[in-house]
Amino acid sequence: LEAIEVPNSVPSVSLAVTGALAIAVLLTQFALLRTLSIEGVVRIYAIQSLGVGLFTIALASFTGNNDLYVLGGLTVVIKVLIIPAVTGRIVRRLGIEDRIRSSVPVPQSFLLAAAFAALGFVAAMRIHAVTVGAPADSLGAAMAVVLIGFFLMTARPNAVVQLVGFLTLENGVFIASLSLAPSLPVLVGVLLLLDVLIPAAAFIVVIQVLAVRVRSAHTDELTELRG
Amino acid sequence: MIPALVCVGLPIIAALACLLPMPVRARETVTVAAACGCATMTVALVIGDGLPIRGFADSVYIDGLSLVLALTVAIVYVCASVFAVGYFNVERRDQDFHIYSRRFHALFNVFVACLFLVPFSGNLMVLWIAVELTTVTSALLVGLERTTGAAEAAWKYILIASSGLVLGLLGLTLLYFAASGPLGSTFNPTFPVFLGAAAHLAPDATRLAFALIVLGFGAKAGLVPMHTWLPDAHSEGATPVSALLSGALLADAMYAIFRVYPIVARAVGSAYPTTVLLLFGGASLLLAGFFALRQTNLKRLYAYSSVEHMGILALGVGIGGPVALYGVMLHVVAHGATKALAFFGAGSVLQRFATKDSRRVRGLSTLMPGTAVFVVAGAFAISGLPPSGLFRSEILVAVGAFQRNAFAAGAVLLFCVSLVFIGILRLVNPMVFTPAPSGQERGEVSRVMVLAMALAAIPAFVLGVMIPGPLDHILHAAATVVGGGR
Repeated sequence: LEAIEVPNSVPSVSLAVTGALAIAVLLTQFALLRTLSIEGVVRIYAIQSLGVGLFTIALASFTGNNDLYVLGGLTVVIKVLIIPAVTGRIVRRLGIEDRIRSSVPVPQSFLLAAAFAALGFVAAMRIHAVTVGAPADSLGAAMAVVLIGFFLMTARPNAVVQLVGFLTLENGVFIASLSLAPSLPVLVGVLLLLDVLIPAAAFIVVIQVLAVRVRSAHTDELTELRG
Repeated sequence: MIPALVCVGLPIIAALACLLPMPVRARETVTVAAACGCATMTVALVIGDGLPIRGFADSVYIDGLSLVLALTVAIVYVCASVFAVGYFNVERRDQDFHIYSRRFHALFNVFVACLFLVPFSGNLMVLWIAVELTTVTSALLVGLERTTGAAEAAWKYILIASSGLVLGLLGLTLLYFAASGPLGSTFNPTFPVFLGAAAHLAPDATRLAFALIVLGFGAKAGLVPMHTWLPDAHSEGATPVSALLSGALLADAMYAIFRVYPIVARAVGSAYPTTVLLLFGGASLLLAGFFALRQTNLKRLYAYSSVEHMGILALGVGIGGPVALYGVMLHVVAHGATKALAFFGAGSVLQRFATKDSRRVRGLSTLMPGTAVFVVAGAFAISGLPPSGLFRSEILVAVGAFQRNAFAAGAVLLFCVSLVFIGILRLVNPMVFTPAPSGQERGEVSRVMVLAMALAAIPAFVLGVMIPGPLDHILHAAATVVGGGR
């Protein structure tokens, strides 16, 4: 196994801080699994995104990369303020039922999510073991967020939760990307951030169609296409 | 560089024009004109020399591989824009339709602009954004059809494709990370830069990155097991959209894999990426083969055939070698034209009989003789029968497999192609060669639709007989790019 040295690798104190923030983000992912109310899910997503924004800003201060401050600020504006506000308004306007049906009960969801989290950390350790400079804590948390995000999307057949599940996937990949390559050209970072708006907009349109057609956000009622 | 900018810019201008208040006919004319303009520019790029074309700090990078994809998009764009004129002429002409037409034509053109942007992007991140944009625009196009089925299809599509692409992004970031050893922590992630440093990439991170990229972009390309959105979206969208989705969009998603494959093969040796592609390709072929046998909706059957053809592309790259790779490149172009032809035929028939169940369609050869000819031609061509372009490309991939002793891959290919052929024959034969039910009026749905089918049939069959010199040149160039210059 070949080990490579990554230039400008961040010192250990900052690794601890960013790692802690990433784990805080992971905890909100568990909170999402526990919540069976649409309003609650949207609120927790906003809190999670705040964690992602703080993570970016912390990384900015430790690496001295000023562009990351901009990215962090944009994250807060878009993911903490705009997306939750727009989603909440649409849910209220369409009068979508607040209760979330669950195809996997909460306790079982927790057990499965814990297994996914462990898997995420194992994967991160594997990368960490062969490449010096890959931050195992934040990378592991990010991988776990991604895996649990996928699980959330399958365990809750509700359009709004699936939207939020998808957005948490993006949050996970965002943290993973920043952990791996904090110097990824910032223009690309900003484009990725703006890209969140595009699927969000499309999701919202589709949710509207669903609500008009089926009068609920339960995607398990959509069973016309099979085979 | 200018023709490439026109290919992306012209559809956007057309889209903006379509938003203005104007008659439906004017929107259709604008779209057909934009398509012809883009096709002319693409042909200019194919005939011209001076490849690779680079610009905007290598964010735009055009070589033979890019042109194979751009040509495919251009062919399907022209045929689909002509087909749409006839398709909507029959569909409806009420006040609601004006609103629908404005949205449809605007989105349709923006979608094509994104489809052109994919092969012209020279930077991994720009490529990702372009592919993501195609998802959004095309999902909205599918969602435009105001049926519960379309809403369900659009929802599934955007959920699976976007989640897949997020994994793809993680893969691309890992690849960037793997290259930060030799290239430093700040570099422009363009293909030439990656290829130059490929020998020094961190191997484990590169392996994981490739798996994520194939999984992510494979979801978008409809590779098994991430294909579940594809039959729904392709059968629920309007027929011109189905043609673009199947003929152009899937190949665009495969393009990302074509680009990354030579980098990974150089970094970790070809055994690993080859195995990954052979597995995904083989699984897609097998599943599509068996599912094709039980379909009753012709559009859905052709959607499974797309899964099969994307499987052939993955399998062909996995087999490797100049013969199979040339076959893969020819397959991209031929599949685009042929799938457009096949979908147009299916769409015309299902529209005339107002049903999605093809078993209720009878007597096509009597009722719609013009359409029947192209339905049969499309069915034969998409099954890879001679003298179609797909026959030639599939034979090349199979020959490539046997030359390189990849006997299992060659056998799977030939077996599954036969399965899909049986599935298609089972459905199409009774539609066409049966007596017409009494009381049905004879006549085509629309002559313009027949014209569009004729247009698509030209490349679908000509490529089986001859390959024009400039096209042969770029196919060779593209095969060399995917083969890593070998």
